[in-house]
Amino acid sequence: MENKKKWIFIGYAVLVLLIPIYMVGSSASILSNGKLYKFRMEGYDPFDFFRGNYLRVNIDTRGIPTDKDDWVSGETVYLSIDVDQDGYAFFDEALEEPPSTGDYMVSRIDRLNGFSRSVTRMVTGDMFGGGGEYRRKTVDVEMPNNLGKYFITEDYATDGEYALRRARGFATVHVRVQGGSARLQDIYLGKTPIMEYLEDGGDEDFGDRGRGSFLQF
Amino acid sequence: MLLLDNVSEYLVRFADRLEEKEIVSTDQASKIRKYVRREESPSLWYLFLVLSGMLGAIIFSAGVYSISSHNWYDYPEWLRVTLGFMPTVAGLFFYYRMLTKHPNSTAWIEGTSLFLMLMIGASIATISRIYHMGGDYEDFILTMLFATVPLFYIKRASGIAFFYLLLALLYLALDIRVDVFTGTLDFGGNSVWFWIFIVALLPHYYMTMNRDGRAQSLRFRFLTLILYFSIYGALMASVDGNLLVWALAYNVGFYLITQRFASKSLGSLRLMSFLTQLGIAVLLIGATMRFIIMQTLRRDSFFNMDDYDGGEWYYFLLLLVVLGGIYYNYFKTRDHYENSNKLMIFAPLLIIALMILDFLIDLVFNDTWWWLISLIMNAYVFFLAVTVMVSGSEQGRFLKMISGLFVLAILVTIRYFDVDMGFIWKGLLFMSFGVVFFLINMFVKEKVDQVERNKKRTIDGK
Repeated sequence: MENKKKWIFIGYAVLVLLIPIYMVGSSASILSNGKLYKFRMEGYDPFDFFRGNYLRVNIDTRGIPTDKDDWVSGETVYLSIDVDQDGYAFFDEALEEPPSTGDYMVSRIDRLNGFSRSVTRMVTGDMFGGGGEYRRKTVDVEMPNNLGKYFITEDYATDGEYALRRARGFATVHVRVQGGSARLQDIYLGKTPIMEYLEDGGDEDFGDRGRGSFLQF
Repeated sequence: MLLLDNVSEYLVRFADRLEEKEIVSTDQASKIRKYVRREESPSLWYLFLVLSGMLGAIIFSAGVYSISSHNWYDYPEWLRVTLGFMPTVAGLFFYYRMLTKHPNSTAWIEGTSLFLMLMIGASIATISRIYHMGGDYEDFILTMLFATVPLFYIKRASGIAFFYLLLALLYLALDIRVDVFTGTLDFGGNSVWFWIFIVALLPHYYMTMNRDGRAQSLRFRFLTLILYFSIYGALMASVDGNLLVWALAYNVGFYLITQRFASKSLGSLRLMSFLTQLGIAVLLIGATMRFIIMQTLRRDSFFNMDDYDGGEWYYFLLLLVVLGGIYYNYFKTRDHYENSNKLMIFAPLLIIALMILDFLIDLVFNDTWWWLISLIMNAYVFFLAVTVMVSGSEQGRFLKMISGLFVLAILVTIRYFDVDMGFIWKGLLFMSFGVVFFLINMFVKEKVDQVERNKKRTIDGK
């Protein structure tokens, strides 16, 4: 092999190896240094052609307040994160630019299948709703990057889906966030990580906890 | 190869026996032997090697993807991450081996390039699964496309172009946005990247072209074919306005490439030439219909661009640049296009002229003389079909003759059902068309008789 070709190959090989190295490095950094948030979630078990089975993670991405009134479907949106009185995280506001303080995630405005990009699924609330209270416009967004899939071995995929159904209202997803990037750390059914729950045979009875509030997606 | 060797060996010995038995002369036997040896060209076997190598790479990679999809969550993270790198490392290893040990083997170049491309994807898939990086297919495909581009240039692998374009088209389709209210398609931001990836492939395509002669390699023909279909689909969905002119210009552009670089003797690019001519004929036949004239040719025309958003102007200017490039190239190297059909080459200009005519009629008479446009289009397609038949007859090319006949037949059939005429006039018109077909039949019959007479003369030695 001529010298020039050799160096081109070496350069290419380094470039190609940098792709997984970057993926590993950024993920490890976020998972060890990122701030932990707990989102309420629901899920089911679909299949990825390249990566096998996963549990589809659904957290509430609808009706996020915003001040911008000309969002376009597919447009990049920055979602600021806040925590409610029960300790669960939620998306506080949809912004055009990353917020100057606090954590955020990146997503896109819901594209609304069957509608043009000019139609932004903008839900305009009553400008002066009950008691003259001002209600802001809201927007639906897609699931933020790297948050929608929990990859799972095929042996537990179906059981995982059933477990998520049983634990409806008690399932939370733990997410680490750092500088706008998020990594899904684990799914918890009650207080138990999902894989631990599945390996133990999944005998935890969520009904006894008597929690009344169920998420509706 | 073994089989080929056996057959040719047998034929060479058979020629020896013919010579021994004095069935043929020594001279003739020698010619037969030379001919058999010449036919031994292993190019098809090389092609088989390339295809089987690529197929092996695909199937093996499918196995890697499947094993990697198992998840292996109960193994330590460091081990899973290390294993995640393995596909890329293995791909690089075989690619390096090709560079050092088999740099001139097309089968190795194509097979290892495709294997490396797929293994990069396998590593990305494995690592992203370990860290639950759902992302989406778009990010995944975008990364794979970026990583593939250098493979076109390091050892000029072309077979991966098929998968590369397939991924690029998939990437484009994933961002498709359909507006049910206006019935329009929009590809969003992904279309920009699609065209960038097409541009990244073009230097490779240009390098495969034999610019000095007309005998083109299989590689060039293959790339021409897949580029034609990929760009055609994306172009039609990307541009706003003047779709008919765009489609015609695109086909004319490729038609000129096939005419300029195709070898007549070897039949290179004949399929492409046929496809582009068929495309032009179908588009022109479509433009003879009232629906197309009213809905597409008129509403879609550049005169109505103010009805739409500003993007149409950009695409119209781009269209002018593309047409300018096509006709500049045509007039600059027109010696190469002596046998090309001028009615096909100038079809986009006809449509533009008709758009202008329609605009002027509307301006002066405040009316739409769609029938006039239709009449001109019908006459154009009619003469086009006749010229194709005549040139096919002159060149002795049966497929060309039959194509012209089919275009004529389709045109007449459509007109029979959609023409708005009284039954008597319609009857007389179609009887005259029938007579034209009889005349064509008589003309061809005379030619067939001539061929028969010539054959007899040869056999009789007169």
